[in-house]
Amino acid sequence: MDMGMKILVVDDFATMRRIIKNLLKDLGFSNISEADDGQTALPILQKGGIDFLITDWNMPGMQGIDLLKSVRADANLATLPVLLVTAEAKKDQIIEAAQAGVNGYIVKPFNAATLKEKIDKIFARIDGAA
Amino acid sequence: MDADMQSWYLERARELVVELQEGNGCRVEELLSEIEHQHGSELYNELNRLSGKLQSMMAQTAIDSRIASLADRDIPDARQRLDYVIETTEKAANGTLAHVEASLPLCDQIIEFTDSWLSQNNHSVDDESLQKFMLTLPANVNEVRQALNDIMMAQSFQDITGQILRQVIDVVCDIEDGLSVLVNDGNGPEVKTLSTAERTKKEIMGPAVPGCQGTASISGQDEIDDLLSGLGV
Repeated sequence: MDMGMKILVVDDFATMRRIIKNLLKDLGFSNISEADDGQTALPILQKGGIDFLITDWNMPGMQGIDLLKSVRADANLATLPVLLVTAEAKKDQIIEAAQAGVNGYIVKPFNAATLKEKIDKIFARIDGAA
Repeated sequence: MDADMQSWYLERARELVVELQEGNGCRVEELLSEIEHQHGSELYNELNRLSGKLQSMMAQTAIDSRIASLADRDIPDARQRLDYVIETTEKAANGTLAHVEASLPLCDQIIEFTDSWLSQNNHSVDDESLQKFMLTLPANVNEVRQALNDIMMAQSFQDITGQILRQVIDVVCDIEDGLSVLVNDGNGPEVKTLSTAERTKKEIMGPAVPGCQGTASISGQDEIDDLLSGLGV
């Protein structure tokens, strides 16, 4: 896993973006950008250079699940690792996210250890497949 | 039929009798056509009035059923959500205070020792008390660091409660719209009536709230991990 990779954190609540950003810094990542919903995130992603997307689900404008679907439908972004960090925890929603191609799913409220575990798992799979 | 209409028909009838007696076929046809046209437009107006009445009755029924659903379900749910917001914010505040209370004595201990050691004239690294202090310092600083992390994580309540409060604001807006229509005797702003699919989609979103209908969720991260690993994620 490249600790210099560029991570985009998408959440409509600034406090949650700040928390995730601090946790990522604590894990050793320093190249972090932010967006407050799918609509603002998508152009940033399309511009290129983002290596990992961490997004909330329930946001005004474009929801996280639609952002994930747009990412998977875009040939340039299709393989981008995506981690959902959300309060949505209904079975149907988790299945929908899995079918849409999510790489990891964390339910809020969560802790630093869970975030680390999921990121490690996502990149262990990617590095293993490479 | 109103008086104007009645006199219009009477006038046409008299004229019709006269024209018939005089054998003026062309004018007779004209008059009959006028009468027929007038009769048709009256029927049309009456149908229009009835259809308007029916539409307003249907809208009223939609408002009534929306208000019934607000009273039966949405308001009790909103109460549960607000109770949950109180509980969540209280938990976060208590957690934060507990971490602060645990950390302050550790900070005091460090400050007191360093103050007293620095105030001595003969600073010596071989000082027994300094060595004892240095041995406990990493654990104490780590404890404070962990407490700061936990305080940060405790702030995630704002995201959860923010989402719940937005849902309650939606219910308050629905009540406001419904009441405004009732006060204005059905003539207020149009009440948004969501389709079942839209309503289900709206209700399914948001954090799980204990005791709240439609928010039943999977119990935690472990269960989600099991479900996802079954789906190959």
